[in-house]
Amino acid sequence: MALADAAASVPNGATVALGGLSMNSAPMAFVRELARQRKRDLTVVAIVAGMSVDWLAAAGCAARVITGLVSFEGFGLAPSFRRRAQAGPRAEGGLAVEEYSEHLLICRLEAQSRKLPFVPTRAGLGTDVLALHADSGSLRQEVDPATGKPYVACTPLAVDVAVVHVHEADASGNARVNPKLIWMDNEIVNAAERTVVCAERIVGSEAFVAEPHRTTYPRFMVDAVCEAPFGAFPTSCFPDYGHCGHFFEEYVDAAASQERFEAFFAERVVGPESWTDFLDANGGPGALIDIFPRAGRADAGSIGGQGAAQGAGQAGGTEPR
Amino acid sequence: MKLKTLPEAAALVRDGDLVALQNMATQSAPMAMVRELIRAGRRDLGLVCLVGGMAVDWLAASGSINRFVGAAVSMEQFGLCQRFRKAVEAGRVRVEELSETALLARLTAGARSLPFLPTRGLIGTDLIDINPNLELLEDPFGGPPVVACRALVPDVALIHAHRADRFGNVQYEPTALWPDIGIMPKAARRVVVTVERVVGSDVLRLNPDRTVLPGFMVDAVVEAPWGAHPTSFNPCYGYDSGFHLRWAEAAAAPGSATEFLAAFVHAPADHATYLQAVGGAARLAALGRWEAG
Repeated sequence: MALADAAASVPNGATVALGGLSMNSAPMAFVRELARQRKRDLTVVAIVAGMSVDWLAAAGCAARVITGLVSFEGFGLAPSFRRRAQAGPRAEGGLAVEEYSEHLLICRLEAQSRKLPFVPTRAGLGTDVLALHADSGSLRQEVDPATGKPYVACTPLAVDVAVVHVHEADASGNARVNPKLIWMDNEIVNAAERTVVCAERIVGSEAFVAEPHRTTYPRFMVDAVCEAPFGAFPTSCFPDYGHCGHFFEEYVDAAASQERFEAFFAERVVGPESWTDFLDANGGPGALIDIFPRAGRADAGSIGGQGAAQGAGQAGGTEPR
Repeated sequence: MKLKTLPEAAALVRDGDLVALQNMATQSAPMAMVRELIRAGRRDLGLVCLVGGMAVDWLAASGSINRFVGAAVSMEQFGLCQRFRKAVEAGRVRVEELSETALLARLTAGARSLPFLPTRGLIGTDLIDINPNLELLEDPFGGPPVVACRALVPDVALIHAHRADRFGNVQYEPTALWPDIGIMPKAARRVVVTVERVVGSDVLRLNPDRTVLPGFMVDAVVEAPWGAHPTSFNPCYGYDSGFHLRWAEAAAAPGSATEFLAAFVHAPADHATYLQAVGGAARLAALGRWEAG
């Protein structure tokens, strides 16, 4: 499915869960389409995120962000997210933030995926995070009557669409992630009503038959597949490529002035027509070469050549540039 | 260094322990370690198995166990585990019966240091009434009821795996991964692993994603090639049908069962001698080709 068509299937007001981490494997190509299509009132679930949430904040798509952390790590805070979050939910263009720990969010998603009214955990006990959710009741401290032990009951978190970035998918929707890169995407996929997979490569089904244990998401869990080479740019997709430090630096630099940022965002992010145009607008082949792991480039990108590719990922491409 | 001999590792299992035993009816059971426990004369053990097979039958026939927690005990097409059945009927072994889902929930709660984990899997069954470790809970948020599965923390978990290094990092081939392997070692206080082969850490590093147990979770590693025999160990070897049939026949009566165990469990001085007793290299080679079924 084309990225634009898959993004068009997300209605305004939907709850969209985004995979990846702050600097890794975020479904950026899909997020860019959401921003281009000027979605409104989205609730964004992102256990840990950065640029993906910032684009949705910058484009005014997100009304609410449910998250453990939004940051650019070594490149600082996410400027648009910060600006709108500081304005608060009642301000024009402001943003509501629902804050959890990663683990508490995972427990809420687990409750949703197992159709349970709650999942207990000891995480969060003794922290002020519980007080943040006293009104909504999404977390509640309980005491086990049999043992007298306290626990936190995490209620289900409904997700309309999960969007994850993977290395390979086939036409029927089977998708796989190099094992090194499985973060917390499983949790959002299991919880979501629908899942959109963006893949570096579309491969034949025989690749999945040959290594069945490597299938991360079987096709019955996947509703749409979009081919998106370098689709995590500017975040990394190990072992294929690292994150693009230049893009992060320029983005943060532009955000020092709202006027400059809006020009940068229009020209460099949402302006380019296709994903290929976007990559061209952001350095083209030069930038892409720059984000390849420095060693073992020929092996990167093949799950079959995993041993060598993992070595390559460790040898280079992990430090910010 | 976590490398041990079978008798050294068996010493980590003490009389009265609750033992989580990796097991499917005819697959992937740590049989070499089970034989060692019987030879060492362990008593009053409790067993936790998703599905028990010949290992449970042998331990029951030897009078080694007095309680069992699990979903099923059977040798599939080779019939019921007759010595286990008789021991339960005679009241020598107490059984806590639950579903596989409920047992996994109990073990997961133990692994996470939670008092319980909820599941909806048992609603409408009588298991909730007969099992004190399962309790119907009204949802604190006004939703549908759930069953609270009480935490279960075994004293020791016994696992058979494909390879490990001397630091206790353990790898599994994905084809043989059952759910108990993932959770039993996390729930148990001690973890004893037999492996087909002890390898260098460099071998494990070739496929780090196949490491299912990191070294810090493992107390002992024992090299025991064909250590799951007579159960299968995918993809290395199939189960030994002839041996299962012989046991099923012997297990029909206490006397013949005792003779069988004397010949195959007590008489062989060590694991290598046992492998000779069950047919030696030719037989094992046939099992390795999955032809001896």
